[in-house]
Amino acid sequence: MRDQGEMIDYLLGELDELDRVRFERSMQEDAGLRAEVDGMRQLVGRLDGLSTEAWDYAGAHHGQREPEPARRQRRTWLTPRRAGLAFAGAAALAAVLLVLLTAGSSRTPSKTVVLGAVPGAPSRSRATATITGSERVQLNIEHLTPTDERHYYELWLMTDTTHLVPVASFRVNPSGAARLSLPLPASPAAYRYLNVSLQRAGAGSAISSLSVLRGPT
Amino acid sequence: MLLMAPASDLTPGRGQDGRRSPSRSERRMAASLARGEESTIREIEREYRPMLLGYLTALLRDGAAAEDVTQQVMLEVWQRRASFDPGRSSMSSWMMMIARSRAIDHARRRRPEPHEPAVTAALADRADAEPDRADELAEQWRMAHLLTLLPRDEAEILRMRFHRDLSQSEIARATGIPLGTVKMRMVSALSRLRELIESEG
Repeated sequence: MRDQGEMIDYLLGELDELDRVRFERSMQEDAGLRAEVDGMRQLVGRLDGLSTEAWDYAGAHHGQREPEPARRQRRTWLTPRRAGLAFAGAAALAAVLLVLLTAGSSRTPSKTVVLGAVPGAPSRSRATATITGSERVQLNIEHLTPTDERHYYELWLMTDTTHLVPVASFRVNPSGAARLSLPLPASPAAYRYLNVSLQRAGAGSAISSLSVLRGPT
Repeated sequence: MLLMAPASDLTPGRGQDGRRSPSRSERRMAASLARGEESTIREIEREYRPMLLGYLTALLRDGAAAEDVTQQVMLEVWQRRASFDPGRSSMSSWMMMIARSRAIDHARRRRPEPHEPAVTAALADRADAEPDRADELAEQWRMAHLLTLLPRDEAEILRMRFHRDLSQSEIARATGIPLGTVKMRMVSALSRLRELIESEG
C-alpha cells in the first residue's frame, strides 16, 4: 500500500506542486489508488462539512472546552448582507461599551417590559426587555422561530408604521433564544412599542408586514 | 465503561455476510437492553441524548420541540428495545433513524404557521426539503458521534484541521507537537474513522 500520509497530504492540499503532479500521475496509472483516494476524499468532505455544533458536541465529549480562535472563514459566509449585519452588531457592541464606559458608577433607573407574540406568530414566542433610562435595552428572547439565511429580525421603537426607528438587526439560532444588549437610538418614551419584525434579506430597510413580538415601551 | 469502550480494542467490524460484527461492549449493551435493564437505558440516554438533541435542534430549529422529540425517541428506544439488532446497525444509527422519523412527523404536524406570503413560500420549500435535510443532518451527527469514539489526541487533530482550518504545519506550531507526529495522528484518525464508518454501514 502506498504511503497514506502522502495521500492525505494530497487531499488536504498540502503537497507541493511537484509532488502533487507526481501523485496525480500515479493515480492515473493505479486504479486501486484512485479508489482509495476517492474513499478518503469523501470522508474529508464530510468532515469539512460538519457544523460547529457537531464539532462542539464531539469536543465536549472529549472534554475539549478550551477557548479557541474564531474559525478561519475559508468558507464564504461573509456575504455582503451578513457583513452588513456583522457591522451593525459590532457598531452596537461598540456603542454599548461606550455607554458603559461613560456611564460611570451612577445607576440609571430601569424598567422591564414583556414583549408577547403578535397574533399569527408562534404563540410561545416572548421576550423581556429591560430598558435602562433612554440609553439602552437588554433583550432576552425565547422560542422565536430561528432565522435562515434569507431572513433576519429587526427590533424597532415604533408607534405605527409611519413613526418608528430601527434599533438593531439580529438572527436567532436553532435554540430559538437570543440575548442582546443594545444602545437605543432614541428615547423610548417617544414611541409606544418595542416591536420585533421578521425581515427578508435584500428586501430593503423598511419594516416588513410581519411583526412577531411587541410590547409597550 | 459499558458503552464507550476505547475504539482501539473494541472497534466493531463487518463480517463476510455483510452483517456488522458488533464489539463486545455493543453485544453486552444490546443483551442488557433486551432484558429491560433500566440502568442500561439510563446509560444509553446519558451517552446518546446530547447527540440526539443536537441533531434534532439543528433539524427542527426549535429547542423546545427538539427536547420533546428527544424524549419521544428515548421512549421509543425503550419500547422497541427487543428489536435492536447490533448485527444490523450500531446503537447510534438505530437511534438516529428513529429520531429522523419522529422529527419528520413533528415537522409535518406543525406546519403551517401564519406568515407573509414570501415567508410561507420559503417555509413550504423548507418542509418539502425536510427529508433530505434530515438525512444530511443525521449524517453529520452520526459523524460527530463517531468522532467521540476516537482517542482524544486524534479527535483534536481532526478538529483543528477541519473545524479551525489549520494546516498540519500550523497545528504543529500551535500545539508544539512535531509535524511528523501531527501527520501520523492525522493518518491514524482518518483511517480509524473510515473503519468506524464502514462498520456502521
